[in-house]
Amino acid sequence: MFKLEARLNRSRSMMLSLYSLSFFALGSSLVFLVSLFYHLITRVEWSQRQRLGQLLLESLGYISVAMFWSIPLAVGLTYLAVTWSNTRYALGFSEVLHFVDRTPALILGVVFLYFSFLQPLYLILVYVLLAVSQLSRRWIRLSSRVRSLDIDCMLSLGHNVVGVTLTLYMRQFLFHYLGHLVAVFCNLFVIVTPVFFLKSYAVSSSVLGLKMYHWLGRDSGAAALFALTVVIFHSLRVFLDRKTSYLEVEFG
Amino acid sequence: MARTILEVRDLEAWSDDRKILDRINLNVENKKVLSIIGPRGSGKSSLLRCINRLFEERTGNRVAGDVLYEGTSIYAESRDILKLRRKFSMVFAEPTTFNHLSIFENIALGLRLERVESGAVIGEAVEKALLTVGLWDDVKSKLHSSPQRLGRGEKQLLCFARSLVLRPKVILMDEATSTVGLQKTMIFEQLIREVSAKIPVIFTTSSRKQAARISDRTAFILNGELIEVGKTSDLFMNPRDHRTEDYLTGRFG
Repeated sequence: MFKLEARLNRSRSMMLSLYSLSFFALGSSLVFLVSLFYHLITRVEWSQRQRLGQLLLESLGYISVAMFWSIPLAVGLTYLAVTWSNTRYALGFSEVLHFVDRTPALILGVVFLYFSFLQPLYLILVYVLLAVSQLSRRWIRLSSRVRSLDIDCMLSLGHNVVGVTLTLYMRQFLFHYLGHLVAVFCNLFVIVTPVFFLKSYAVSSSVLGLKMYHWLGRDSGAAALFALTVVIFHSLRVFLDRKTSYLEVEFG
Repeated sequence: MARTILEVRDLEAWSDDRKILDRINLNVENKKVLSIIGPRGSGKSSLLRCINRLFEERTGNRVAGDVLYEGTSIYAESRDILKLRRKFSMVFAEPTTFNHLSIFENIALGLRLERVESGAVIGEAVEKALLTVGLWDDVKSKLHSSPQRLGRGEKQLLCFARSLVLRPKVILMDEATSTVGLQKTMIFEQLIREVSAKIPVIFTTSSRKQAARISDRTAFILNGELIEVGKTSDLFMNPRDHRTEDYLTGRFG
């Protein structure tokens, strides 16, 4: 009975995991399809090749976004689902606890992987593609007239194409990337804090030396510090995003 | 008789397979305003962009013929395009301020690209340019803030100042007043008159009345073809071609 309940809980959490993964994948794909349709109907003046280039880039962008967002969210939801089933069903507690015990490590792993590696990688890829396309000036033109006028204006002032790329794109890239780095920490705190609040009350864990989070979870001062850090990081991010608002990148 | 500074010779331009300009021949006189009029899509902007070689920057665009500046071809292989573009400053239809740069840096940008190092020289040039366009009093207290909050007309004046700071030899204005209000348009027209006492101005406009007000000479372009060019008063009073007359009297366009 004990094992059966545990197995049931595990299969329920797996189902939920699958469900949430497909939900986010579906949602992101829908966003992708809608924007694809939008681009197809609004950029009739573009040549087939330009449209294809833009389409490829955007597909890459949206699929990456869909993938990268789906995984941590699905894992997070799974964790919550397991915690919920854990409290709901007393039976099978130790088995579920065993699973829960490893979940923060898994979440941490995915979150770290996502924010510290995959997202920057994706951004670098997008910006490199943008820079390359701008350098060659063959693939895509920027969508709005005003933005293409920005480039023309830079050129008319005596900038060369590399200069335009560096001034308009690399500057934006730096600000944008900096903003994302800040966001990494911000999101990390936002995601990790509640997890460890829950975790610290749920189990006494030694996975990844998580004793520390017991202290964080229970100490209100530390929690307040966390909240303040989140606010500061968010403000920084908004500020950095505003710095790049003059030129909107269509990806990500 | 004013000296010819720029000669457009048999200029043809294509965008992909579409012909944009068809054998344009045109002289630009020094210290005069030349207006280029014509309906939308007639090739006015393309002509300007051929003069500062911005046209060829777009994929699929190509040019044939020549443009001579003081007798030498601007399409010669030895020609430094970047220097040329600084000599032929351009003001676009939309205000193109760079909001990530301050008002000061927006104007100083061209000078920095020219490798002007001295802060004093740059500061002086920026102030002079802003004074010329009548924007100094409005922006002197916020020189180091973003131009984002300036009005449309003020932004366009800023762009004009940015083009003047480079001490250009020719000023190209592509419907520069089409998006600004009446008051600023009047200021612009006055400025064009003042500036043209020293530098030739080539000004494209869809407004026949504006062309009549500000220009010494006017060229009429239709479907990429130069229909007629002459003294503004002659062209408006006695057009030689019936298409010019039709356009001026509002039968089309």
